[in-house]
Amino acid sequence: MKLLREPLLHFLIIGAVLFGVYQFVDAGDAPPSDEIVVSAGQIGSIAAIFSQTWQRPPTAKELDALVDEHIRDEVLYRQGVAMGLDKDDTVIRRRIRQKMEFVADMTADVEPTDAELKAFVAEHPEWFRSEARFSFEQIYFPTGGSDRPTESLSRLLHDLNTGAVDASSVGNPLMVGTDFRDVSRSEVAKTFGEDFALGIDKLALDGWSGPVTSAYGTHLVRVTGRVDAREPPVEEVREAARREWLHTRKGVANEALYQRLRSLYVVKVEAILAGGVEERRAEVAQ
Amino acid sequence: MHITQREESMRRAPDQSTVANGHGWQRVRPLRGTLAITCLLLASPAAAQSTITDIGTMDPATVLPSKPPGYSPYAGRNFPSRVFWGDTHLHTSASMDAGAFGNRLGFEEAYRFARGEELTASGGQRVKLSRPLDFLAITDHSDNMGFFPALFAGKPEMLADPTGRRWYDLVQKGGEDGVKAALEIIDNFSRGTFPPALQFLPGSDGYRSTWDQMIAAAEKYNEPGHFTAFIGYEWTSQVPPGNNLHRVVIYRDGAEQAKQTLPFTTYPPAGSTTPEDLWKHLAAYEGKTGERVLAISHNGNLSNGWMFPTETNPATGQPLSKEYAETRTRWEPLYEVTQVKGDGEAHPYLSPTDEFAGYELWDKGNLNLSEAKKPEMLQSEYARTALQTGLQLEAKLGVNPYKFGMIGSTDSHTSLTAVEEENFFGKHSGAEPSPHRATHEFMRNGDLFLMGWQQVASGYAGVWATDNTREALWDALRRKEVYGTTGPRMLVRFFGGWDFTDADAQSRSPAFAGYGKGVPMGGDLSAAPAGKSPTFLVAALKDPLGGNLDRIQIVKGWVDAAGARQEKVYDVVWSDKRVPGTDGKLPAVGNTVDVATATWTNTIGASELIKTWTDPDFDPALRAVYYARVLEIPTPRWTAYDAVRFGVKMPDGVPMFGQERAYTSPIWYTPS
Repeated sequence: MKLLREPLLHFLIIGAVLFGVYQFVDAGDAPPSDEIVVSAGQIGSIAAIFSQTWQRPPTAKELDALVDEHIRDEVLYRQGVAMGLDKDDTVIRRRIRQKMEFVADMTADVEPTDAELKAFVAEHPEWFRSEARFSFEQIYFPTGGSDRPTESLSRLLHDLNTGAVDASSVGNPLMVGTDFRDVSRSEVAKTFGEDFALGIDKLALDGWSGPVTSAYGTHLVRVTGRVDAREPPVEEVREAARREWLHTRKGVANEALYQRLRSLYVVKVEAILAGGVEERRAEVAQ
Repeated sequence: MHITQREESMRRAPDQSTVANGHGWQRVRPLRGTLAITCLLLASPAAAQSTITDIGTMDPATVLPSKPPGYSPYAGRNFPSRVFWGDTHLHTSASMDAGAFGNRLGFEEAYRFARGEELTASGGQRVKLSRPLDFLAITDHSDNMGFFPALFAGKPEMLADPTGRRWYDLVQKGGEDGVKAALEIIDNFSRGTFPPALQFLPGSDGYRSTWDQMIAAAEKYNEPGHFTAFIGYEWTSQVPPGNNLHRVVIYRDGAEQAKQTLPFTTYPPAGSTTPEDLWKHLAAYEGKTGERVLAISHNGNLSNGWMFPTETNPATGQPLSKEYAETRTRWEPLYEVTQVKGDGEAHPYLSPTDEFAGYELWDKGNLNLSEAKKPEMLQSEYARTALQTGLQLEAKLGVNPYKFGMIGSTDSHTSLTAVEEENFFGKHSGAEPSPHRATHEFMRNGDLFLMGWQQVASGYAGVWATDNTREALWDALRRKEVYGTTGPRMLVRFFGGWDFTDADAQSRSPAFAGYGKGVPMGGDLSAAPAGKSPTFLVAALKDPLGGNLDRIQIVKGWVDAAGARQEKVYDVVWSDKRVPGTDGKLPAVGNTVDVATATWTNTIGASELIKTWTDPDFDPALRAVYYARVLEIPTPRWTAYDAVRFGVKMPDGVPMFGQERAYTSPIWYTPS
């Protein structure tokens, strides 16, 4: 098991199978023939694709048209190949490179073990840390509303906290609402702006405090509940961890594979003429 | 946002529930009792034909104003209390034209970017969104889907074709040659002369694997409650010479169902350029799987009069029929009214007295500029007029084919949903930020051309939904409780009813009165109580990162007693205590934009606007449609940011600031 998960070996096995198949197919296709056979199997496949589009089988007439189209494809394809249009270094290089990358991607596409996921999450706690969540009420005073200078806000805070003033009787309405329960920090920031999210993060639980500024104005806030950010166990973030593990692995595996293959070669890069370098620099600067 | 309370109220959802129908309460039966969010029939005559205009479960005991709730106004509610932001129309490298322009970013990169991750754009620059989006539909072109990945892989069937080979070589050279190849490809495709050998159609292995990959990527990045990845595609019907009839198709369900079908294409015999055939295909899918799918049309501005026909269906040559109207409205509940290729709300030729019509227009010709625009085409291209035409057709056919809600989306071909003015990554990878992107010719066909600076940094879709899941968002799209913006994420509420009062606009949350006494955007009013005119409760809150608000307008369209289309734009509420002049016109809000530094200040305008408005010209015998348009104060356009960041001078005549805006889905009034 351990051996099979070794990337290079995995790569070589898949590569051998794929390239073997390609070789076989290429050899079969190589001599252009003047005979085009549309096999019963191919017709069945054409019909099946139609059915998948329309959720019903094609009529005889529709099937005829589809087969005609298939023949047209084949004729033009073979003529193009016969004209040697498939022979070009750039193309072949590109094709083979893409195949190699495809194979490399396949080698990276393996399921992580529990231990690997656990280690991965432990390695990147910041990727999977849950956000802080808040429950709070807010009283809103619009920007430019000169009727509430700072000292009157602190008086109001005092009155709110002693119960002399009811929260629902002061401030202005704001479309987003006054009462928020169990809202994540990023949602708070999306709703009120980053400054506000920073602001309520610092407030003590219970009791009215502030003022806190937002994108809309000034607020008095009563934080009624708070769940701190935490690093959840792997079980709670399994899907995300798997996705990120695969994504990370793909990048690392492809690069590692390339480096190993590259190490099989002696690479010599000749100096470029001075003028050429200048030109290339100018291009890059654009 | 108020997740805890909503879940409570869902658990309490009764078997028999009550919904507002604009003038009272009716008992209706839930259709899908097994769903957490019970789907209800909206009890209005027009919507009763359809099973999908659900507005969610409400308990009248707590919603009716006569029985005020306890201290927390959110307890016991489950109407949509927050907006989810997203893009229903994004292309990746799997779209042939995107690949041609140099896009190398695939599905995974597109999702990761929308979720807020920083990455490297195809052009090599680092890029990140100011804030993550809540949902994304990757909608690559179904025709030739996967063409470019296959082309780059050097597939023999691609390169055996001489044209394919030439394009391949051009694309490999990159730069201007790559752009040339892309334009040739698009032009051939529009004319129906795309080399058959290059068509990447259903039946080929490449096609199948691309669709499978798209579905797999959506499954991988769809995280209910956090981020929604819709499965979808774009059906790219361009009737020769190039009249745009494109539709985006969005699936409600997941891989299991979507895999049972293949995207509908436009090349016969398996595909078709006629929308009726797309609708048949969608019906076949729903019939087979029992699941749900919808289509969103866009870019009527590039259809040269084909998007919203008034009498004859140009696709078939037949007069518009009741069946056409029923089928279209069944499958196409929404119109994408604003995007990178132009804003399609209103045109000055059609709305000469609207000083804000004419925003970011693309009105030179059809999609490939192969045919110039003629003025008489415009009435079948712009949303405002189409809404009125829909009323006329409803009177004639009994069904309104153009009863659509409005959203914005990007139609970006860069895999990047980056359409904010100060973070605009262009229509395609060749238009990613560079000193000269604004002054390059964007497209030319003979004498007709568009310049790079004409690209529009727009738009997004705002969706009022109860939760961030495929089901909740899709249902909101279907019931049209959505709106479009040209980029800013402003909150907009729009309710219609018969009894809204000024006090409702002063309340702490207009939504309670809105849902309690009326219908939200996308809804219907009928059976006007004697002597009453419809009242509307409209509210907007600025984007926390955006410009202040200038004004909210309500746009009314109606059909007069003689059967003619009519429209009027009302200024409903505005900032800075301005007083309309003797001509009734509201003075402009002003302009704080400093073009030289690409900055502005929120010293004018308002952060929030709210108002109850009564139609002063209501005639209960006439059909009418109302929607709200919210205008921001002027802010710098992307061209101003380009000028400052690259130190270049824009040519005279290039707009350097603009008033960004939101368009709500309409509310319709139908005489009983």
